Amino acid sequence: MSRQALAYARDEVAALVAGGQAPRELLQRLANEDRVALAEVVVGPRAPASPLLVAAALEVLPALEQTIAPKALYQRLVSLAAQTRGDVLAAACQRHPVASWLVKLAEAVEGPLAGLAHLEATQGLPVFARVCQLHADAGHQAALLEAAARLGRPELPAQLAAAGHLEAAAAAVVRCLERDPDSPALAWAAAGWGPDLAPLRLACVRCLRDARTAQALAAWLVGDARASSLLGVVRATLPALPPPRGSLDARGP
Amino acid sequence: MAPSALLLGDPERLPFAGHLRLVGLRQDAGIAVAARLGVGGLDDAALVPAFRAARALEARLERATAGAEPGRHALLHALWQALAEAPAAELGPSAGGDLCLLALAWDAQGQGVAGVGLGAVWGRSAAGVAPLVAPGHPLLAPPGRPASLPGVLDLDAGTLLSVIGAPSHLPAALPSLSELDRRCGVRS
Repeated sequence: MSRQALAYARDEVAALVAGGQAPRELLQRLANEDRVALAEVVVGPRAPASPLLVAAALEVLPALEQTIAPKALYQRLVSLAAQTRGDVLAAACQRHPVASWLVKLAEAVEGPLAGLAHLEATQGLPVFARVCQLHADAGHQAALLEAAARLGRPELPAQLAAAGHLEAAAAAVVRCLERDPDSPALAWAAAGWGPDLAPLRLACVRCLRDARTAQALAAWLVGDARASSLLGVVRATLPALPPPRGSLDARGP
Repeated sequence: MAPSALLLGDPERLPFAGHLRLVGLRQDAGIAVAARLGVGGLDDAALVPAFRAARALEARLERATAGAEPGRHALLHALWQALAEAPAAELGPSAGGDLCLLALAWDAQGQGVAGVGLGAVWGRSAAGVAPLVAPGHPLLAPPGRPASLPGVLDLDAGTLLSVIGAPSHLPAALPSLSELDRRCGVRS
């Protein structure tokens, strides 16, 4: 594409988004005819910071990725418009579920709950455990804990434990048991933590919030007199059922 | 501080499936045990049976060593006796055939090291970490419950601060010292 044609394409994109329209057809045409021009129009220094442009760009991601490295592409798309950050992150998680650069992208988009969208997007995939590991190693404890409450998957406490986040791992075990009293979360966490289970078991007891979950945990504490004794004391002070789930768990690890 | 027995975990995402560790103190004697039920590459479905088997064995060995005479040979004998008497079903889906175990017992007269299912054993002393036995030594027995009472590597009192074992399904290579505790699941 000539310099003049490129300038024309830029002007057309700017006019469309200024008029409240997503430049879908134009970007689709560039994706088919000139991917370098497409990249220049979408993520070049003069690209308009518009959610309409980003929304259209999300429909031509395969073409964009042939010209721009995914890490840089998604970082740039996130920076273009606050309103579409979540959509960009979701697309990145879908297209590159185990990319390590998703860790930083998630931090930029989700802040204190960095990793949650990635975890939820990959929960049905074979790479889920690897994704848990990525975010546990990155210290995204709040996201793993929230995901444990929402999904109840034992990989979450297991990877928190493997990364050495004792209190978060224990809280995640308890969240999994709250969701499903038959959850094997403690066995998984033990496999990540190591053979000295006393600190993990005691931390689980400290994280309990209801008597039903205390009963579920008790089955995994057989043989540990200290943790079982503490459980008996704590259980007497707890309400019968877990607190109702809000949009986010107020109580962290 | 009491001597310890450590077993390397698998270099996988959940390294310590089926692992257990215990220390039993009896007057001026004691025994440290690290063990594992379940072979390398445990799949997800095997995690819970491995956990339950490890906890059952842990409890059984704790009871046995707590009731033993306070001497290193008596403690090791109690350990093997308890293993021999354990119902096969209690030792996991392989009925204990995949057992890896390393024990260090001590009293005022000396230390004794014994085990099964080990590819290498190192000793940590004040001088550092070094292989305790050469390949082919009887201490490096195949995994599983021993058919007869295993031998004991006898050492002078206070020789070792800890013993470190590599389960026989892992490479017989010592990790770097900076990695050693992490690879054995030692949490500060």
